[in-house]
Amino acid sequence: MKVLICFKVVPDMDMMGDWNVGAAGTIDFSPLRKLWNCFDEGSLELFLKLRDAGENGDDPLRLDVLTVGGAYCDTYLKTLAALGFDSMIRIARDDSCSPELTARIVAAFVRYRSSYDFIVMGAQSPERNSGVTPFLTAEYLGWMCISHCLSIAVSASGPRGAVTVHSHSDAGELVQTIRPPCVFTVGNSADAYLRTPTLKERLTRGAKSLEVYTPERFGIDTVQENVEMHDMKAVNHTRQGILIDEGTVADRVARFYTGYLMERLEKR
Amino acid sequence: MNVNVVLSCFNPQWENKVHELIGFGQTLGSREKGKAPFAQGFLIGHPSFDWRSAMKRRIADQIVLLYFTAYSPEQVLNTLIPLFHTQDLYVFSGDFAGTELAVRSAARKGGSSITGVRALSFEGGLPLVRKRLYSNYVEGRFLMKKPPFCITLASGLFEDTEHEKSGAYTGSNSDPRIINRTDETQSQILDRTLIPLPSKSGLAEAKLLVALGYGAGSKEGVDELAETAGILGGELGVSRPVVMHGWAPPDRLLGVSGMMTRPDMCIAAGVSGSQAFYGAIEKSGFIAAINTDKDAPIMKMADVALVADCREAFALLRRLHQGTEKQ
Repeated sequence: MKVLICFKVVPDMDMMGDWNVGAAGTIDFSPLRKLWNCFDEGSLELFLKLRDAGENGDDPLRLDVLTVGGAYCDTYLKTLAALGFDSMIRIARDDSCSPELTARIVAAFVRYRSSYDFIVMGAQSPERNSGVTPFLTAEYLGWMCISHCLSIAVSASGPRGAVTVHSHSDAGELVQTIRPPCVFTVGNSADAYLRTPTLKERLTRGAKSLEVYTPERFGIDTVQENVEMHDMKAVNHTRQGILIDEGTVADRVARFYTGYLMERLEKR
Repeated sequence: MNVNVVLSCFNPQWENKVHELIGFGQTLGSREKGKAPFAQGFLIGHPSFDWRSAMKRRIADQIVLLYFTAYSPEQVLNTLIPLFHTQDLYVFSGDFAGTELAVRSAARKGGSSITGVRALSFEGGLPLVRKRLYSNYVEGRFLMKKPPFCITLASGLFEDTEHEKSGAYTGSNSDPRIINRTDETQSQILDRTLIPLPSKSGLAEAKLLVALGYGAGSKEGVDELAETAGILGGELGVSRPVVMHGWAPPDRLLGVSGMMTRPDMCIAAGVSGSQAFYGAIEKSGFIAAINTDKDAPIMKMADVALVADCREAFALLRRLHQGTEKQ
C-alpha cells in the first residue's frame, strides 16, 4: 500500500501583533515563526501509528510525504525522514499558492508517480480557512474523497489494499471499508501531535536526501484562478475589555460576579 | 442569474440549516415580493424523509428532491451536477456535505467555489463575497469569475429574522420534482456503517456558554469547571487543545473545526483567545473572560476580563451563585 501524505508549514498567526495589510493586499509573515499545520500534524502521526500497528501483512506500507513551499520546509522534511517516512518530496514555491494551484500540483505529481493508493491531507489550513484543496485534488484526479477521517486501519476482512476508515459526517461517525484510490482529509483525529524523533533517529535517518522539484517538472506553471482576491482588511475584535485585576482573588471574583454576571444569570 | 440552494437533509441539523439559508437569502433582498428566497432548492435525503411536513418554510420556488439510501458524495455529485445551470449561483449549507459538494460541483463544471461566505454582493454581474481568512484575523473580498458559482455559508452567522417578525415565507412548497437514486450503489465502498450522533450537544442553541481552554489544566480541572458550568445553567464548550488532550469529548469542540455559537453570554475561562477559537464565540451577546495573564488576547476581546486562575475563580463563583440562589 502506497500512501502520499501532504503537509503544509504555516506561520503562527497568533504571534502577529498588528495586522497590516499591504497596498497590494499582501501581508508580511516573514517575522513569524513557522509550525506544522495542526491538521497535517495529526495526519502524519495517524499514519505512523498505522505503520506501528504492522497489520498490513505481505503488503508493505510505503509512506511518502510531500509539501509545496520554500526551502524553510526542509527542516520539517528532515524531521519526517528521521521518523522513518520513505520519501521526502518538496515542490519548490517561494510564494504562497492558491488552493487551485496546490491541488493541480499534487494531482500532477500523483499522476507522474502513478503508484499511490491513497493521498492524505489535513482538513484545512489557517491561511484561507477554506478546506477546499483535498476536494479539488480528488476532483482533478477523479478519485473519491473521505473527509474528516478519525482513524484508518488495514481492513481485516476486505481484499488486499482495502482499508477501514472512521470519519466524521454530518449525521455521525461513518465506518467504511473501501478500495483504493481515495483522498482522505484528516480533521480532529485523536492523534493531534506528531512524535519527536530521537537523536539516534535524527543521526541515522535524518540525513536521507530530499527530493526537490519545480512545478514545471510536472507541467504546472500557473493556473487560471477562478476566484480573485479583491481586497482585505484586518478584523477588529476588540470589545470593552473592562479589566478586573486589583484586590484579592475573592474581591476580584465578587466584583466580576455581582457587577457583570449575576443579573445576566438571573434574567435567564 | 438565478440564486439556488442545495441542502443535505441527511444532516440531523437540517432544520437549523434551513433557517440559516433563508436568513442568508433575506440578506440578498433581490427577489420579488411573494417569492421564496431562492429560485430552485435541491434537497438531498432518504425517501422516508417527510419533506412536506418538515419544510414548513418556503425555501425555494421550485423544489427538487434527490433520494438516496445513504449520503454518498460521489453519488450525489453524479446526480446533482447535470441539473445545474451553467450561469446560476448555488448556495450550499456550511456543513461537511455542503463544503464537499460545493467545491467539487464547481470544479467539475469549470466554475468557481468559495467556502465560509459571510456576505454576498455583485460587481459587474459577478458575485463578490466576503469571507474570513488567516485564522479569522482578516476579512477578504473575493470576486468569483467563472460560473456556475458555488458558495457555502459561514456557520452560525445567518438568522431567519423575518420569520420572527412577520412569518415570512410560511406556506407550502410547490409539489417537488423527485429524482430517485436509491437503486444505485458505489462499488468502491465495500462496507458502510453509520454510528449516529448520540444526541444534540445543545451548543448551537445555548444561551449561556462556558468555554474552557487549556488553562483548565487537566481532565480533573475540566470536570470540575464543567460541574460549575452546569450549576450556572450553562452549556460546556471547549477549545481544540482540551479535546486533543482527551479532557473533553469531541462533540464539545468549539472553533473553526468545531461548533460556532451565538449565546447571550459566554464565560471564556482559561482560553488565550486564538482567532481559530474566538471565531466560535464572537457572536456572543456578552463575553466575560477569565485568565491568569492580563495581556492574553482574549482579555481585549471580552466585555469584562477577570485576572485569576480559572479553577480558583470558578470555585468562588460557584459559592457566590449558590449563595445568591438561596436568598
